[in-house]
Amino acid sequence: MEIDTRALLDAYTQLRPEVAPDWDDALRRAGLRRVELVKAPSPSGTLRNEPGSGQRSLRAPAATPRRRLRAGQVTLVAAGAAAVALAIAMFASSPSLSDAAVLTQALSSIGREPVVHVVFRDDTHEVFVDLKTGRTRPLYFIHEQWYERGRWLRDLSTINGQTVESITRRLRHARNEETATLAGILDGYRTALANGSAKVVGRGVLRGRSVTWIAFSGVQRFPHGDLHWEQHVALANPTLRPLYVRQTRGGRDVAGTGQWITRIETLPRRSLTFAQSPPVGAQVIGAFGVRQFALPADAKQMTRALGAPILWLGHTFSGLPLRFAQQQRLFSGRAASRRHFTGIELCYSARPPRIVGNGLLDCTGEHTLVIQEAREPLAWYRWPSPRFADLRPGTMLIGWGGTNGFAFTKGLHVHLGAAGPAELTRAAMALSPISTK
Amino acid sequence: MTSCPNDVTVATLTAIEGSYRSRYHQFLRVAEALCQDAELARDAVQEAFASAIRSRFSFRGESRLDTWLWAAVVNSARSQREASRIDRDAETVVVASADPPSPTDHALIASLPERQKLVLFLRYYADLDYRSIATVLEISPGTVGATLNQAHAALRRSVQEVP
Repeated sequence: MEIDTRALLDAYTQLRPEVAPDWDDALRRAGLRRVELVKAPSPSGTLRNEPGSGQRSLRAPAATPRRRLRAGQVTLVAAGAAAVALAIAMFASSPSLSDAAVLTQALSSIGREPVVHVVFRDDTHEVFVDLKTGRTRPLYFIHEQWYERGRWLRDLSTINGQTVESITRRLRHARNEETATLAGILDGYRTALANGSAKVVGRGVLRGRSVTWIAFSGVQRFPHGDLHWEQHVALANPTLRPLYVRQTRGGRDVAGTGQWITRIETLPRRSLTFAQSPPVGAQVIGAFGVRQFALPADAKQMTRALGAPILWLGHTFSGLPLRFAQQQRLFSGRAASRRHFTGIELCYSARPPRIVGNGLLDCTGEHTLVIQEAREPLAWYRWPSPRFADLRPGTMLIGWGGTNGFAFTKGLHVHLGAAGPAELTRAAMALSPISTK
Repeated sequence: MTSCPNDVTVATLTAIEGSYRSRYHQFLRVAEALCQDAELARDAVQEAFASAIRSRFSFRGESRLDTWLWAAVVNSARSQREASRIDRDAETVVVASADPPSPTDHALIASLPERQKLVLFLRYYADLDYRSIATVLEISPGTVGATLNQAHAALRRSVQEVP
């Protein structure tokens, strides 16, 4: 008997056309708006966070995030006003190329060969912290693309010099997910320069460099309606090669779309051999089995289970009592190649723990600090393995959002989860081996 | 059904947003299948994408971007459901609808074990292939095939039993 599975599934859940996607809400929940308030450049302004300004101390008590944000906003407004004034003055007074000449020169600066090669640099908003001094240095994500319209797209991504991925694939037809990406600096930029649809929209200073801003627009079609966007590209004067790109919609910046362009050129078709990458197998990870401990009574058992003295913060840390310590048996890989690991999780929290399934205790929420340690960098504990090699003892990587820290210390890979960078840094500095006597 | 494969391998914000806007209602319906609550489902999808945005630099192309996002939505919906179960202490959730589904049809899917239900939704709504479903659910592709067969067999049996 034939059954209409799709119809049964349709009957099980309701189509809710009245519920529209809310991308801004997702960005807000991700914390992107807050970061972008400080990071985003204005078309004619000087970008904040110049290289070196990331060298700030997380030890400085200034410093609740809210206060920093307010201070940042005030500074941004002041800097923005000054920069706008400077930009207006420059725009008004400097003898410049005509708009048409700008577009022509910008196009010739990258050439007219079929393969576009662009190197982007993203600020990941992640930092390395020196646990002795508290000083930080930023972590950058380098994304390199080679693109030949309708034929090939090759991606190469590196983080602090380490290759994260290198993938090449055929482009039979552009999909919605990548239409905007391709229509941006990879393809749309050149087209807009060539057909004259790009416009000069301003001149100013960006990170101390004189730039000319141009803009071109596009539209992307989605089930809920068209999305009209504008790409703003800062061209370095006098070469007029792209330096920075960001997207606006309805005249407003789109959070997270700003990218620095460190190189852009076009190449002859035969200068590069595209070879499709083999698929990469997915990593399978999971946890099974937990065992609860009493501390410090069970310190010896925990040390035996882990194969090294566990690191902890005492019975209380920053007013948060130690709520539980549990051993977790973890695995990675599929059945044939499955490997097993042991991890220890310590939870400092203002509230009692709750069971979330399989006997696992939950250590999330406000006023909570979690420590997860293992002898290996485990994906279950969120270890971003490509960045691991750069993580020297005495250093902590604070992940995007500032609530996760990763440190390699005393032979253990430690993941810390806390409310913010300052809490993470304080905790990482205070970690010490538990006494087993 | 419109086929919408996705080989995007770099989790740029633009690519994540494109997937979100293109398949928002598919994400929502699968989340609702897990949460059995429209508000929870919406929250689960938003949280899943917030999480994807935060961790986009950790995406390493081990799976397709689309698969990665589906995994985020499924995990987020499961978390929301677990949290809700604890918070509500087994309160019965009634899904309000202007046009309520046939109780029989609804019950057919509801009677399936969660894994079978999820495999069906990921196959029919997400349009994922076996390998991608396997990645999302952390099971082998062979298990995906077996689970789909079991689900179809169970549905056929149930339909025959309905008077």
